Amino acid sequence: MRKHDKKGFLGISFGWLFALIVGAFILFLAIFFAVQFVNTQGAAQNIVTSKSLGILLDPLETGYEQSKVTYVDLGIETTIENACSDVGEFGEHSIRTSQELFGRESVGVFAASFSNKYIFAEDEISGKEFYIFSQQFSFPFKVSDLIFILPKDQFYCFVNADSEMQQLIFDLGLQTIRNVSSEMQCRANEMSVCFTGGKCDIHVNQNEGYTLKENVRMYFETEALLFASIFSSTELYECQLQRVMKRVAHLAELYSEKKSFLATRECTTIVDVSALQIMAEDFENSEDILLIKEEKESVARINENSRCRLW
Amino acid sequence: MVKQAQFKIQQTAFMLVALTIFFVLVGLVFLGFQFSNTREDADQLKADQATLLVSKLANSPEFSCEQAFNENKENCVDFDKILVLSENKEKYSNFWGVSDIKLRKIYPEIEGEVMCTKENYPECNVVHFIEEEIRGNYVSNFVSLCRKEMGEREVYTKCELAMLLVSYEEYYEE
Amino acid sequence: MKSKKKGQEEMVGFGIIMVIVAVIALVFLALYLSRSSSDIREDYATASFVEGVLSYTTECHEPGKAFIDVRELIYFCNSAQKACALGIDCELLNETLRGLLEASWDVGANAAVKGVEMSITSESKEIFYYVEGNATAEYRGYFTEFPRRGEFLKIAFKAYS
Repeated sequence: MRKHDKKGFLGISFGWLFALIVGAFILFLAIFFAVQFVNTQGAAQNIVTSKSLGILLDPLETGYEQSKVTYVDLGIETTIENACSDVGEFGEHSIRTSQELFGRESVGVFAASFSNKYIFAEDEISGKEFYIFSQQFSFPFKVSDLIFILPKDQFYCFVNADSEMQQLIFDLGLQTIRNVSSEMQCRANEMSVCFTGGKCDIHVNQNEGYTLKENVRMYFETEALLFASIFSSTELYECQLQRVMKRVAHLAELYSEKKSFLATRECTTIVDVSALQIMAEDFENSEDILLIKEEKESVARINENSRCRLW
Repeated sequence: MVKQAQFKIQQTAFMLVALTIFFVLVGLVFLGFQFSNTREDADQLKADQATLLVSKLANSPEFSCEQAFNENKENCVDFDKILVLSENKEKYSNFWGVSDIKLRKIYPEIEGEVMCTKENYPECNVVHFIEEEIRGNYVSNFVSLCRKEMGEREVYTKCELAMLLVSYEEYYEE
Repeated sequence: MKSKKKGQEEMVGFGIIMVIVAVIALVFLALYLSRSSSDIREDYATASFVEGVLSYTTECHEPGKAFIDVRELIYFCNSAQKACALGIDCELLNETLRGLLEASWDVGANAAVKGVEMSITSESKEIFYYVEGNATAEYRGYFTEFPRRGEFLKIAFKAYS
């Protein structure tokens, strides 16, 4: 037997061996960097989406109009988590988004936080498309626009809403809310909201000024808070209301100081918002609205009839 | 035959090395590009945020005239209110999510930069809102600056022209 | 010979693959770069400037009445009615608008704004016209009109860059 006919242990030529090793190494590098890249992009994309959502909400903020609607298509299945904190001067609202990338869910951190936005929605909402609309909230001076985020596939059925509410829904142009005259007309996939008694998921008592949801009463004053109580979770509603009242307190303080300043310039007014300020500072939960709303109405009347208006 | 085989091995080896270097280079260029784009996206988002903020700031409750001057004016800033606001600016330092907000009266012109206080009001031309050191890019918006003024017999509304400037920070400091 | 040619063929093939991959990468790069970012700042400054000018309180007032804004003064300048207790309506309007334009826009060959132009017209005549600097092909503009006692008053403003 000649030497070169003897087969080695593996029986593979050097070229093949080299090709296998280098090929495996290249494949490993490619897969490693691809995974790293997808993870980085996923995290970056979540942060960008959260920040973009925040920016999209900006034109809805304290504008000139009473209400505005916008439609957002995020392109891929997204979960938006809302977190509210009433700590600090104005509290804070944070948004975290999680998106599906290649069948896996990429979870972001609470990347976008806003002190000047008041967002009402369920704690966690999912979908590709969302309706975002706002309603101006005054108490009695303009405080802010309250922002509502609804997934496009979350449907509501309003039972026996009054004509004003029906007109408002019609004007908003939200296709996810239907007006009906009986809860029997509500479909299985719709969240029913009764305005005059009946068996519904949510009950609105406009006379006493509260919404009953999951056996919890959420008191409201004005249309904006009525919407908030319907579309928001109970915890988020109470927390955002606390934050809104903090803003009311700060604005009342600002108007008190403006009143003192204007008095030095011979523009006197008898509007006194100090009581409103104190009540807003002491605000603990939505039930306190029953106490504060009378003061708000009184102050509004006096300012309206003043020669030197504060607002 | 042996030489042919050796030649084949060399060919394969060179091809694989060249291929690896090529893909590594492409990958590096692509990643570098993506990274700079992400930074640009963040900067662009901040710039858009600042511009939209300017457009709504004049209409926010802390700034806007509302009906204090007996008509609903858009882009109207209440000079009396913001003067008071500027003396409580520590509460609002992180409120609007930008690094600086400044209001500058354009007309009637006042020489130099005169910061507004209760003592020199309204013969001043700059109101500054945020405590932080001024830096970053500014976007601006013309606004009506209105106040109550004492006339011969009664108080009347006086509106002047001003510029509202908002600064946002670049993502990375230069 | 045949084996050398085969080797050459393989190298050429490899070269072609590299060229194709590079071309595809360039196409993707070009598509990515050509994504235009939305510019939400256009016309915004000019619109808010014109609205601010119209709301400006002038030195003109009717005897015993409050001072009027530019919007009202434009009407009085266009009509036969006299508003200003002191001075001539159109002269005061001219002076006020020039002052506002000169103070608001830094115009120059080396400035961001190369020129500005403002015209105010009624259905029958030109009420005010102002131009400073040079008109260029690129400009931001705002146009508005408002009715006053049956007549439309039109304002056009352009800032050339």
